[in-house]
Amino acid sequence: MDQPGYVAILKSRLEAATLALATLALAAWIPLAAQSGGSDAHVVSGLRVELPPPDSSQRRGVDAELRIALFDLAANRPLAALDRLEWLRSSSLAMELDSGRGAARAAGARAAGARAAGAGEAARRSSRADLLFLLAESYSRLGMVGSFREVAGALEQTPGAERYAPVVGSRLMLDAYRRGDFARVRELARSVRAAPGGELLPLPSLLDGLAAYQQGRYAESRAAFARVRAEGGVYAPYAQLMDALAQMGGDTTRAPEALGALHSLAQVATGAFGDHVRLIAAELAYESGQYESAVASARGVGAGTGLAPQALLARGWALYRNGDLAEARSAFAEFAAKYPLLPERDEARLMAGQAMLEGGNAAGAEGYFQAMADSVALELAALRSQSPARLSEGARTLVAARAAGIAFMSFPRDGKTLAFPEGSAGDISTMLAAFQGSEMPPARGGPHIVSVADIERRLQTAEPKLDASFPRRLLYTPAGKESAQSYAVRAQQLADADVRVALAEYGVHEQVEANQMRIAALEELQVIVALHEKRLSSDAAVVAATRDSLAAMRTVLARGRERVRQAVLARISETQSMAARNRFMIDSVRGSLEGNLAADDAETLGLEAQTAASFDQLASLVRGGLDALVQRHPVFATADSIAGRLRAADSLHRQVRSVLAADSVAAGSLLAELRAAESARTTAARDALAAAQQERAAAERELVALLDADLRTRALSLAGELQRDREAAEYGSANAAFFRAIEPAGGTEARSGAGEGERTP
Amino acid sequence: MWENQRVYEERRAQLVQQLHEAQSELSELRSDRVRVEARVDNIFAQTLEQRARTLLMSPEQSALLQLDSMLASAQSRMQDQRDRMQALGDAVRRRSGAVLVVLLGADSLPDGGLGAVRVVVDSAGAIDRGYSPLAIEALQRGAVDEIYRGEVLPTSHDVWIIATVGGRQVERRVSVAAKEGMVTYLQFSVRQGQLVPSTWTSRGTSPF
Repeated sequence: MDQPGYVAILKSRLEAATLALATLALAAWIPLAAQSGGSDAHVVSGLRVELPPPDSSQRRGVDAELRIALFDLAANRPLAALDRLEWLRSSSLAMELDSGRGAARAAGARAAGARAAGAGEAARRSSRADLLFLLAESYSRLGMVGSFREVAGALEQTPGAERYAPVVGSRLMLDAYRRGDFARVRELARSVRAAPGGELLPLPSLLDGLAAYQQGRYAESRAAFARVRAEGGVYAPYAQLMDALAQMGGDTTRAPEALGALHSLAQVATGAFGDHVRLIAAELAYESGQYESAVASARGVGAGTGLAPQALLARGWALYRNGDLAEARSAFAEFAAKYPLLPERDEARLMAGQAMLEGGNAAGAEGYFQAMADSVALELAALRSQSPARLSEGARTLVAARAAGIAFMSFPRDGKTLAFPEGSAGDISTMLAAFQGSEMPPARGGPHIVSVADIERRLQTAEPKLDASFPRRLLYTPAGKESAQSYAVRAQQLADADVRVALAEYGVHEQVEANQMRIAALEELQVIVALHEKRLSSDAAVVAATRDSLAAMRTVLARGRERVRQAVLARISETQSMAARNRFMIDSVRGSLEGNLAADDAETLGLEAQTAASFDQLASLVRGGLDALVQRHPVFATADSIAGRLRAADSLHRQVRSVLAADSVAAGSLLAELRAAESARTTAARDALAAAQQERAAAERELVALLDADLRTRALSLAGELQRDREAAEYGSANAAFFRAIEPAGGTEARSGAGEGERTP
Repeated sequence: MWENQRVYEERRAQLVQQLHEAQSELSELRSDRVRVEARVDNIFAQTLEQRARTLLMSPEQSALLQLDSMLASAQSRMQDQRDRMQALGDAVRRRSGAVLVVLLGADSLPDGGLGAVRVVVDSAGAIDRGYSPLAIEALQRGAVDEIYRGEVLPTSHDVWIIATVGGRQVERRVSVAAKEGMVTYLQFSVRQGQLVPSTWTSRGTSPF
């Protein structure tokens, strides 16, 4: 999958001139993408939309984090998922919604009307159950069995977790089966079957059947296998195989019935599973004394397949028991030649010699046995000459390569070790379906049969590699029982420690990146400050231009003011002059009519005189307040307002400049701090990493010590085996020499000649 | 008698003639007066207009209003600058950043599914995504892909997403305000062949 987005963005942010380049890149990408989309493709352009201020929704925040973790798991990034989920589980702030207070707040938010479409579904879910389920999935996928068990236990007690019971229960069953806790497997099977949808899952029934088989409860195991077969799917053939074995009920006298079922199955089974069926049929037929059937079944196993060694050895023995000595010798010799590392090599070599001897070739057998005795003696000497330090080095190498497990595989050479991958108890689709609450999809991958070829492949690809001088046969020599039990515990501790280190490294990486993002954000602030300074300069230029324009207008305004003044003054003078003329005319009329003035006329003249006086007074009043009146003219008021605005703009300009300077200082200071030293969180993450590394080193030491001690014990055991094999070979040689001595001379020579070619098995 | 009558009629006709002439002259005088009055009115109106123009000072007023508008605009910008930068500076001093998370989900996908996705945050770099069938299944079953998560300044951020949905290019460009001290989520959900944005915030849901 892609690298996390913030890594990509961080890189680009730190590059110079990213802004223009990124825009260009996007612009270039659109037509390209449109072209690749074919004729139907076209760009639906979108204008930039300013989203309304986001609502606060703690539950949606937590839900989003869980869904991100779900995606990480689906994208095979369990470490990223685990990091997020463990952090969420430990964060009381993030998960506060699960407290009463948080729930009340959520209820309030719902009452207020949650707007987003996802809010309703988010509210219905149990965040705690989802979190624990995803944690369990992460631990399980990372092989952290102890942590998985703990979380699975917590999940069981969590309300709303019922729908996860089948998936988690299946994983718990697998874990219990691996530990040999068959009673627990069966107990879990009952609870999984009782869970909604659990009765339809085939794996729990298969494991239930296997556990019952191991407990000797064959009838119950057959019932479980029948359920698996009824459901069909990838586990059905395995159930059929196991049912065939279970129907013997542990009684080999009933083997013919089982063989019949196995032969039927073998006819339709293909691939590795088919080989598995045929090998088991061969071994069962051999145990039942049906050697020809055993040979036929063993021959059905492909020569180049993983189970070929076991089939070849089984065929050798069946041929030998059936009296086909030449073919038996050939099969044994082939086995010894092809698989020299397997413990059965010398058994095969002895049987090859024995078949030769019983076939009448005493001379050849004598030589063959002697050559084997010499070869084993050399190997024994080489093994005894191995210094303990070399074994210790081998143990360290195997542990460093995390390949120590191959030394503790109990049954690869038997071809009866079934490996259930984690996906068996729920692959990605199953996990997604469980999270969504929909029907579980059918299982896609069945168990894998571990073969010798797998071990060899693992050894070849392991890094660092084992030294060529390391006696590899020790890896196939059975481990001590106590060592094997201790190994399971210590290997688990080391696996957990490995994950913890990886997780701590991820945490450090995350914090370092977060710090770089913080630095990038501050650098962005500096860029913004610079942009604002530029913008401020442009605004300052506007202010200055306004000031200049206003200053230039002062003269125009002064002239205008005088013009208005004069115009008004002219009107005042005119009014006063007219008032004076009226008064004169009134006085003249009054003088002409003196003595003959009627009362009405006198009143009229009085009113006229009063009117003239009023106009005169008004004109005088206007003249007195003319300057103030002119000042209130809109033009001069606007000019005054602009002058006031200019003063305010100057003040604002100073404020912005001061704010920008303060921001620049704050950003610079914090940047210097961030660049000079790591954040407390990064330091804490580094401390956590150091602690995890120490724990891992301790776990490694313990596992190395265990493997080292076990390899030494194995070396002694193997030396003993070799010693016995050498003695057996020497005995075989002597025995052959005896038979050669008592056989007729001609025949001996002839058989001796034929046997010389077999000297080097 | 008849002579008197004739003299009378001649005199009467003469007088009638004189009356008609006087009336005609009077009519002409009236017309002249109307014309003179109209001219006087016109001159008076022009004088009034000139006086009004003088008194109103329209050109000066217009110039001043223009200056005032420019100044007001500059002031408004500076105020905005001051407030925004003050808020940003305060956030930096308080060391309470904001986290922006950009997510992609899929409520429904048309035939052709989901192809390449490109996201650009603040024009600062393109993040490309491609989705496997399993990843698409995850998206359809409720998982969301975290395309971007980072500490950002508590201010508006531009997010531009282009996706191939059902074989055609769909584009969406939004501006989202990252809140100080909060984790701001911006989720694009593929719904009915479109990219539908939604946003919300929460506290403490980011480990940094």
